[in-house]
Amino acid sequence: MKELRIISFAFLLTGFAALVSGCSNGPTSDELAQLDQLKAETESLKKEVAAKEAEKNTLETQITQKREELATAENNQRLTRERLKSQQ
Amino acid sequence: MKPKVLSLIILLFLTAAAANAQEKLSKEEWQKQISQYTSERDNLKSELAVLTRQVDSLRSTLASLDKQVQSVRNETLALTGASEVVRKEFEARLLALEQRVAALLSLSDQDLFVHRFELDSAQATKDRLMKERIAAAERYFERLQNIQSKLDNLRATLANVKSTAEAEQHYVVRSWAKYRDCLWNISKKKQVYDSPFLWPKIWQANRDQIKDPDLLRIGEHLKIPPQGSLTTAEKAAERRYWSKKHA
Repeated sequence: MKELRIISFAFLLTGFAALVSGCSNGPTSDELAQLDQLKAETESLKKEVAAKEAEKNTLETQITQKREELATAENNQRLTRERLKSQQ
Repeated sequence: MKPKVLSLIILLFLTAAAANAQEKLSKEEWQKQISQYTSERDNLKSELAVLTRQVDSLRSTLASLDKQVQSVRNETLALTGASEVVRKEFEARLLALEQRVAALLSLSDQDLFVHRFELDSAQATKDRLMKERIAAAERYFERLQNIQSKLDNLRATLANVKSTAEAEQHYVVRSWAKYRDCLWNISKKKQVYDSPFLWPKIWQANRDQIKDPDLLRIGEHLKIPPQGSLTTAEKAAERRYWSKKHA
């Protein structure tokens, strides 16, 4: 009987400890929601930045290719002028 | 209460308190994270703004380069003085010539020999196209060069076929009584095929003279085609010969 009282008291004390620590001065649920939203916004921005960097790389590659096309077109124009001269 | 039991109770109390405290964020930790993520967010926004400006600038550069390329190409075509109608008409003639040359390339050597005059005609067409101003444009010049290369290859093939045809031998049939001249024995001769089994070649090459392969006339001039294995037609003729013989 005495042991039963001791065990019950132990469980009560455990519950009280949990309650006490839970009631300490932590952030409110609104504040926690604010933190979650901030985290989500940061993740989203990271993805946007990655996508923009990928687009930038693609455009730079396309520009390099276009410059080569332009050089080829200008060379072809030069050759065409020479051929037309030789036709005369 | 026994000391041991009391110690156990205190231990349980502390463990529960600690466990529960760890599950929840402290105000200080929350504040720290808020500052950290706010700073990171602001940096990312700045970075995104810079990248967006850079991407817009690159898009603009790409569009400008594209216009320049088109402009140079149009100028090049304009140098030839060809209108759109003339250009289309020239393209149609060029395409027709390319198709004629492709058809010649698909012929066997023997068929090419038969159609050898078409090679000259294709060459003449190519030369006429080459003289037109519009042919100076790179896109057409390259295609005409390609056609010339194919025509040169066809001529080389034709030259080989011609020399082979010109090297064809002839054999004059002599009497059976003295020389045992028959298709089998003629084929067997060293100066002919050195193999009697190629006699159908001689027979088929001389169908206009040899009605019956078993009957040769003295003095007949037989064409001896170039040595090689029996063609499908020659094998078929031989099979028909033996079928009739055994019938």
